[in-house]
Amino acid sequence: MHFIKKLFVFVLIFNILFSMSLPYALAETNITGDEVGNAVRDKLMAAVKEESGASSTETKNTVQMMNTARQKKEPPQVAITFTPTNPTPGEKVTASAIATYFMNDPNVQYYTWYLQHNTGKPDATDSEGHKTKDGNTDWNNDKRIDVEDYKIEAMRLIANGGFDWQQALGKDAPLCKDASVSADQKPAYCTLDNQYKNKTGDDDSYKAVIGGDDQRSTPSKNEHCYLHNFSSGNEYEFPSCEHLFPNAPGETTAGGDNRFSLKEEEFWRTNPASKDTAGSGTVDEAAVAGLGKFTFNWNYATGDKVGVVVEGISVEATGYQDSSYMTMWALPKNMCTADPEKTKREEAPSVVTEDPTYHLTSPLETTPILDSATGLPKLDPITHEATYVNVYYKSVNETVYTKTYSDGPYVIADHGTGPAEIVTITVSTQTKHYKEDKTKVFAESLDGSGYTYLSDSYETVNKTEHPELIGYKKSDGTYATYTTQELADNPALSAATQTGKIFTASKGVQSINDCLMANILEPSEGAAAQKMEINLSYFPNAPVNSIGDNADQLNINSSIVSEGNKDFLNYAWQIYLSSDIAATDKDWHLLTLPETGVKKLSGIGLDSLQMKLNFTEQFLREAKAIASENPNLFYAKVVLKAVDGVGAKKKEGVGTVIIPIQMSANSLQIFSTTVSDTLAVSLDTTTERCVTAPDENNLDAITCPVAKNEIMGAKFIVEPDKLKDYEFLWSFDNKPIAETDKNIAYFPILAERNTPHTLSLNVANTVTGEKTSLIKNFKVTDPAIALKSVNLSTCAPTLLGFYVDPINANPDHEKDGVNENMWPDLSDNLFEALTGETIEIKPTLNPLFHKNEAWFLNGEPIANSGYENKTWFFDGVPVTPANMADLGITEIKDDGTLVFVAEKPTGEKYNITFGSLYTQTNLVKRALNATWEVPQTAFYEKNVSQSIEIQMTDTLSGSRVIGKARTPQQKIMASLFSAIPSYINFLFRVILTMGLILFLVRTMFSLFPKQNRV
Amino acid sequence: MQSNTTTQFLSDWKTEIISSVVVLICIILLVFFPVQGVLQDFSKYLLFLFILPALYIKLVLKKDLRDFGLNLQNPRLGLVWAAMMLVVSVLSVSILFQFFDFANKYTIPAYLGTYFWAFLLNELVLVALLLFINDFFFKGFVLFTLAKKFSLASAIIQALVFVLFTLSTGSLDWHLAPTIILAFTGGIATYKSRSFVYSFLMSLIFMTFLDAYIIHIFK
Repeated sequence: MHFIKKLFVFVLIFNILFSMSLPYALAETNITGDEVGNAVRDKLMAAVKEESGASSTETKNTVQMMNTARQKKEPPQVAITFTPTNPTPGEKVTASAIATYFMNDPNVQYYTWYLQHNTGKPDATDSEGHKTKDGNTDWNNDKRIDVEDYKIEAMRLIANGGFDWQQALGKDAPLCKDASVSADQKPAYCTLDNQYKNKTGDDDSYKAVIGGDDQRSTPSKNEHCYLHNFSSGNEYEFPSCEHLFPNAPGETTAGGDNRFSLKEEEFWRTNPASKDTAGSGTVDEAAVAGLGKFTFNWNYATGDKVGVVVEGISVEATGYQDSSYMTMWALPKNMCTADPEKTKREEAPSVVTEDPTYHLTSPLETTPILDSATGLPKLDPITHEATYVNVYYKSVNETVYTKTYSDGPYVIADHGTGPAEIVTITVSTQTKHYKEDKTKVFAESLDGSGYTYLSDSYETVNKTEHPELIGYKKSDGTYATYTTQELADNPALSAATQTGKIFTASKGVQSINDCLMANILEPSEGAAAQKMEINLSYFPNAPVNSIGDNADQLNINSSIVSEGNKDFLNYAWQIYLSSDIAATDKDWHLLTLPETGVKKLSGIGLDSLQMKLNFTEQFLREAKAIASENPNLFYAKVVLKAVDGVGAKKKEGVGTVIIPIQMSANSLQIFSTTVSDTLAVSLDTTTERCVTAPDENNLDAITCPVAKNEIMGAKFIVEPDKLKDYEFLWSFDNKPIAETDKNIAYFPILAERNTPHTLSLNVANTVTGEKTSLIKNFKVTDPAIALKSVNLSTCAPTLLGFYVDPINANPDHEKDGVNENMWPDLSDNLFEALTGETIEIKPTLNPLFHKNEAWFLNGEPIANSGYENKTWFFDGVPVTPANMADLGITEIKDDGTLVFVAEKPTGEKYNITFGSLYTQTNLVKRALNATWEVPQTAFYEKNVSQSIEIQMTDTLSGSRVIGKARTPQQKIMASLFSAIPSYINFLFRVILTMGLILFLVRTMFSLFPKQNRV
Repeated sequence: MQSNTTTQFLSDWKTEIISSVVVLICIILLVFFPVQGVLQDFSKYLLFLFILPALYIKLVLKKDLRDFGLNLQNPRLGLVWAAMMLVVSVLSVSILFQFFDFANKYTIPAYLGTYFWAFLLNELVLVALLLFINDFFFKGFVLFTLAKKFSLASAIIQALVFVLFTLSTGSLDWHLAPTIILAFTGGIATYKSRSFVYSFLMSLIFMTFLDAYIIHIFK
């Protein structure tokens, strides 16, 4: 126990000594208590930050966001939609108000509508003495037509709901009181009493609550009404809350008197006998207040404008310690200018910063030392001269707030209440320099110290003119102005050096009512489209330009979002061509109507366009639509302008689409194929088939003729080094082709005669992304042989007559002696030849596919040498090497041309036949069987032959000389016989022959002795 | 005397001589009459091998076509002989198959083997028509013209006339071998039954089965 006491005393003494000495210890080490505290705090903060992983930057950012979160909240807003968006005069329009960011339901909010007409009518007075102008009426008789009258115009329609108020007026109705209308023309209700003068006891009064009907409570809630500043995000409280309802003259609507008198009923044209005239579920006075009236209907007249202001409770609570939320009003355009920032009352006093250092003036000024007794310059006793000393300036920077006060009764202040004042504040920083009073220098001092300010006179010195006076004295004795960084680091210093910054406030907002006219809308103004949205689409997706009737037809369809009748929209199409998709406007060639080939490009209801893509290469080059570097592609830009209506109601739109167009299948080549011994199929590129010829009438180029059991090859032209950039999809009759090698495909023809086939190729360039679709049409035909005369001067086809071609003109028609549209009709198998001349008849296979066939003669196959003499029949006799000379045949050339000298006399004929059995070679058959599984019994064979008859003549009819020399009667007979079908001619000859034979035989019978019949 | 013999000869052989001349004329016209196209060619066949002889029989000879084999008298006899001759024909053609590689020489169009309807049409219309005309002329007109004087030999003679006609056109090849066989066997059947109709039916059956057999062995 004794020890414990000693220990306790020891600890106590130790603590006292420690606490007493600690400040001294800290003082010795120049450490203050604050510094210790700050150090501890900083260490603690650092430890917390390290432990929690908080980043200083992010923490600051988060705090900054929290600081400004209040200003980011959405205030109540309202949007109006009109149906229809573009009404015609007299049409009923429904305006719907959609309010957002209110806490209460639309059904309990107050919608105050206002309707302004703009008919252009001059000032007038109606029959009831109301002033009128522009179709508007001074309903409240306050001698002006303003927003209050517009409110009455609109809310009256809502409350009235179509009720016949004139009938309720009875004999006091305007029409009934009109002396100019005779009694029999007056309506029947003119005999009735005025219902508005007899109270019938309908209780349709209503007391509105600030913020909405749902704010009604007992006791009532505190009312706080605010205006939101959309720029700063701050809300500013009004000194008092007021509804914006329209009022009947001398009455208050729903705001306080809770009374809806008959006079008000008459004013608002409601039914005095009904609580709910409009049948909308609200009593009449509530209807006038706009309770839940978020739609408004009226009959539109040209120039009508409509607006609405919605009163309700915002989602944001007030700063008051009660249950109140902000009552706010929403306007359609959010245009309610009030910039309280600018009108913020500056409470800060002037800030004066005095530089304690005295500065010499520049130019240097001096002043005499004064005699303290007399106040006159002190003269030297000996020299009687004054002693002059330098004059110093002292710079004082003073921030001066110049306030001007307006006399308005309103208040805009921060959260909470405040004095009612709007100020104009001019903030300026003036630098004042206090100069010594020359009269008060009593003692000399070389450094200026010791002088006493005796005067507060000063003059304002312009900083620009005397920059040396604005700044500070450095340690080396020079003067310098503060740097930007120094100013930024020391805000007080910054404030002290600002030049004049003047803030002026606008008059500010007296109430929301002042903003209503700035938020009025015209129905077409609210609609999204005085512009029409036009979308264009086209088909086919990858159009190809080619020559001939099978050219692609480009279909362009328009889709327009328009509420009008699309059949009456005025469409104007324009089509441009260019080689560059990104060409400037001047580089697009505009097609004229004839160049497009369409019937019309503009008109009503012309919502689609069909155009044939058969531009010739020459035309495209002249139009600079194809470029040398890429002659296979050009672009068409289609522009559609559509217009609906005229004048103020006009709606128009433009749609554009650029269509890449591939040039025709110059890129796709068709070849026959050869089959090797290993049954490998390859292209036979010696002759390209179905080539697009310059002549547009080359039908083979349009539909390629092929024969059954042919193996065809197709190749897409592409540079070998670019082949890897392409992906190919070959299809034959919509089925993918398996036998392909990148840009080459092989496909067999297995269908019967006249079957059409389609080869399609989709090519995608993986580098440029360009896509191309090519199509080639085929038709299965039977192989046929045509025999032609090589030398038309010695042997020519017989002229059968002339036919009329209404499209193409015959360039030789004058030589033929016929009209320009008449062409000679030449026979395919009747020829004429000159006696004694050398005749050459050449066989040509049609189509040209003479490589893989095999010729048979009497069942014996002939080796694939092409044309051998065994295949010719001369006057019915098969030509062999042995009988060539006997038949008069000179030779048979390698290409099969039969050459002989026509030795028969005039009038006689040669019958020449060429042909035999056509089928594919064994290699092709094996390839068809192995690769395409064609059964061996299904191979195609065809007897192919062609016969011609050559009549010997003295003159060829092809020279047209004989035609001219014939007599008209000969011409007629010749025409007659050539016109009669040859079969009838044949029958005629046969019948004649038979008749002759029977006659002769009968004659013989008569000549023979009579037979003894047993 | 001699003139009497000549006159008698001419009188006795008047019909045969003049009919032979008509046959010759028909064959000559068939070979040499100019035609263009298949239709005229077929029409020529019909006109000169059927119409002209028929007109000659009706207008000049003033006889009935029934007398020239276009009848169905003696059906039993006709069918028996037709059947027998059919067997002979089959045996004959089988010899050709066996010893002369007839199967590879007798070719028919591939489409007949592919499409059954084409085969039926070919046999029942085209072949039937040609056989009928052929039989009417040779086994009807020629045979019965000579039958009185040459009896059974007329059947051989008409077959020989057919062969000569084929030779003259230069179209004698293995395709005509069955027709030549039928010319002989059909002639005998015709002579025995006094009607070429049974011969025609026999020929039709024979040709149909022959073509079918050829298709069968090559499928």
